[in-house]
Amino acid sequence: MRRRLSFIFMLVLLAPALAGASPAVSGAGRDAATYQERRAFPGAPPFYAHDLGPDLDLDRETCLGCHESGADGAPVVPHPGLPDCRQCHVAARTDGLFKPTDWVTPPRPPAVKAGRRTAPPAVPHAVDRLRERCVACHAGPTALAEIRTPHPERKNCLQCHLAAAEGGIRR
Amino acid sequence: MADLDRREFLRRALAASTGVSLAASEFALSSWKADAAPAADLVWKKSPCRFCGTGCGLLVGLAGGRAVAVRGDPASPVNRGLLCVKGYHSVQALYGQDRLKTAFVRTDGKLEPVPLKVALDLVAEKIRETVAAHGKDAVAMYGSGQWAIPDGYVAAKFMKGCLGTNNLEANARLCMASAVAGFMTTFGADEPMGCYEDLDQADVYVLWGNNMAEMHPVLFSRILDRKAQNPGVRLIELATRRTRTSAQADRSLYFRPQTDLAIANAVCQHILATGKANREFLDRHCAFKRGKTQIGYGLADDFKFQDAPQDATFEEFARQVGEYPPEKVAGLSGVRAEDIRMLADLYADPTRKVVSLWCMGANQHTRGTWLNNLIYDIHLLVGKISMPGNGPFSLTGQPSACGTVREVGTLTNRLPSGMVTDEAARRKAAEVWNVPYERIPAKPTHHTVSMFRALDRGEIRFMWIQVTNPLVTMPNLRRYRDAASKDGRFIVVSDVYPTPTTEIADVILPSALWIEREGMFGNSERRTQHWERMIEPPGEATSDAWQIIEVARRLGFGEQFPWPEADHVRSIWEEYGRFHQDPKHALAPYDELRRRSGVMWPFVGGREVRWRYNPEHDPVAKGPGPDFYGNPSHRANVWLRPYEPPPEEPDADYPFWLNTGRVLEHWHTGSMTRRVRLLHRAMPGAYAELNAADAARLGVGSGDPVRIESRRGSLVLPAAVGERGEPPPGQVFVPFFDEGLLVNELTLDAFCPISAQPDYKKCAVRLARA
Repeated sequence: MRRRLSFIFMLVLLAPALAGASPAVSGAGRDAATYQERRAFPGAPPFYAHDLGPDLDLDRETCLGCHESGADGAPVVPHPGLPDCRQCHVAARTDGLFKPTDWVTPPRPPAVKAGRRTAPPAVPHAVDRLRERCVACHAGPTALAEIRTPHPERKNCLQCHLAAAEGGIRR
Repeated sequence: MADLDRREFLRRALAASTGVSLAASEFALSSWKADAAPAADLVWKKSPCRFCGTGCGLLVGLAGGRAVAVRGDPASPVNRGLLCVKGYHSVQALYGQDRLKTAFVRTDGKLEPVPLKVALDLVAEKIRETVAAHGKDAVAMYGSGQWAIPDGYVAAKFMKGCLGTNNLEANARLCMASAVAGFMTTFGADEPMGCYEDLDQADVYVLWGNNMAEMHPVLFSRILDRKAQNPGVRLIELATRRTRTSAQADRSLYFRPQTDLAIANAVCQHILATGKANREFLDRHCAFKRGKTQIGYGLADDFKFQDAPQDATFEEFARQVGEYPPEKVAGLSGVRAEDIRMLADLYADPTRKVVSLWCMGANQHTRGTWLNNLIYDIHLLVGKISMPGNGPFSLTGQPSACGTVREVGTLTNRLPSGMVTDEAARRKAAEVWNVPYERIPAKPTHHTVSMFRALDRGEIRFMWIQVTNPLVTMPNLRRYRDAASKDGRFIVVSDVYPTPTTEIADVILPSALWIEREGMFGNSERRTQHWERMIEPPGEATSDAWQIIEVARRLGFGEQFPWPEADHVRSIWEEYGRFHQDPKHALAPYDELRRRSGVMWPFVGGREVRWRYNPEHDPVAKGPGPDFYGNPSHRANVWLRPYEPPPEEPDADYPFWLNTGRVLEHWHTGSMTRRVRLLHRAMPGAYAELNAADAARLGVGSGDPVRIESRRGSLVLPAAVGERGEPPPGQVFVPFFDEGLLVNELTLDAFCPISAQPDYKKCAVRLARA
């Protein structure tokens, strides 16, 4: 029991260090590995890897201060209308596991290869409340190179890129 | 220490029996694996979330025989495509490496893996032996609001109809019993009259001790959306500590524990004193009632309570609440009189629609039934009830506390349609179940706390625990852990992972989890939600319902459980539906449930009734105005309920209040959510949340060890100062999800005498730097 307690104390003491002492962690230059590391599966809400200061002082406006515009290289939020960031996005206070897991997930959608394309690719994921702003992920300095659009100036994405793949429910 | 050894043994035994290496991928960095499943399109299937009582609709992404992703179901009216962090990661709870995949039987003190058939034979034999030696009331079953509806239905039929004992209880007693007793005493019918659409339409939201931002985040976001679009909307919170909900509230009224009773009376007093009561509504639709007072706390084993309701008058009600003017209550509660008046004025303002919300703060309360009654009193006084955007709304904590425990009736005093004391309900059950009427006993036996006390005393000798973790959740835990470990007790535990409850088991049965079997849950807004079997359960794991059916057949009740495994859920639903054909509670047909993302009851003529008792929405209700048809008088009862103090308050020896509860990341005892990597990383262990002034006086900062001691036990926890929440000076908060830091060893097993629900929110402790 004592060993277990001291382990927990250690986690708590380490928490600030693990959470990253610097408030601004640049999202610029994110690669697919970082992108995947922060998400349990494609489309899962990522955890945040930076310190936020006192929990109760934090509100949506604080988060949007960086994540609305991409200030300091913060990834831009693709669903700016949702009211409570921390309903879905949580901290990382330890890197340990409570118990080992057999969880695996396929890397979906497969990375889109640039070039040699004759037609606009379809959207390989749902376009829903959580992904209402395409350019958040597909343009700008924090967009992954694999999914960056060569024509961010064309605003109406769904004019050419059809959203279908995850829309249907088989029952 | 012995416990830990046994756990370690169990893990190894499991690993050995399933060929899983414990070391493999223990700290794997990424679980995105190209070869895990074909990267082709996933198949998406609908299910309610496995966790809280909100009942969000999920779409589970399936590939290669595994669940690999989750989306919010845009077709679900509950959540409209949005989930919380637990919902998004829920499917990961299926894949902890220490899943129970085989049965275990304790042999010479050690749990040894055995074939499931052998374990089921032993369970049946032990039930037979126990009944023969000690009588049928020596056998008990304890489940939870996590039971899918077919599980609870089979449990009720087996215990009450086949064995003939009312020793059937559920964790919902620890969670929702005061809500049920509140509904029954006020309206004569359980469950909310309104629905979640109320959250989109109110002008004022009053939270009675409910940290919705963490406990019901998806519903809280609906309120925040409403607020964002309508700047005049007000969110008022009554709370005992500052939380993420407080951070969003327009006003937080911080009250001293237990004084919510007095505040509710003061709100009524002010409404009457300002002449704002809706006398016409009261005259037409309400009756006044009084019950016993000085009703005790249930701390002694021989405690018995039966309320004696009497008719009262408006004048008597006015006299009673007249004892609670806001100025006087301010002194007791710590809430300023002007704030109490502000709250009362908001309730009474004829231009504003008001929704009240509450959950454990009001229910886990030694006067929980009274507090539920008082919140209804306020709404009835101003006639704001059963209308879109206007009404009281009792939230639930477990996914099917409503659907299974409350609607099927897996409690000692209940049957699927009514109370065991009601002859008509017993006759109906006997007819549907095809059992002799005489076999269903007319007297309730033990509520949950009483049941575990009877186990301690030896009156109960056999207990089958399914889908819950009482050796983490029982208050005054040490007594009940010792009870379960006594000689001559036989404990069967059905679960999906090793827990402190499986540690004391004589037999462990491996259960299929959630989408590994077909089932239905029923959420807080009367919505029944079906899911199909989507993936195979591991090893020999099977549903809780099927385990009971197998044992029942071994005991000669095959005639009552004739269904083939392939479509038993449909058969059970059709049989269960015979209890609920009345348009007051008509359930949707099976095919409708399969097709839709949840269907609300009453489901009448192909339509959901969204506002019960309201003649514009409910075909049973006869207008004008609401028809509270649950009571024979067709009137709602306005109860006279005073303030009474709690059984234990801080004193010179134990100067702090201890409050316990949940956190956003973990659900119930954490046996599922802690096995989700992201959730565990965000919230790895329990802590003692302190006010900064108390922490300074004790000389501790965040992370320093603090010893918390009550009259029942002591525990060392890391302090948390200025973190998730902030209690006022003189209070400490500890979450209960951590099986390594069992805060319930400190809590008090006092309960509301009417509902028998314990109070986990108030007991006295002392603190010291450890």
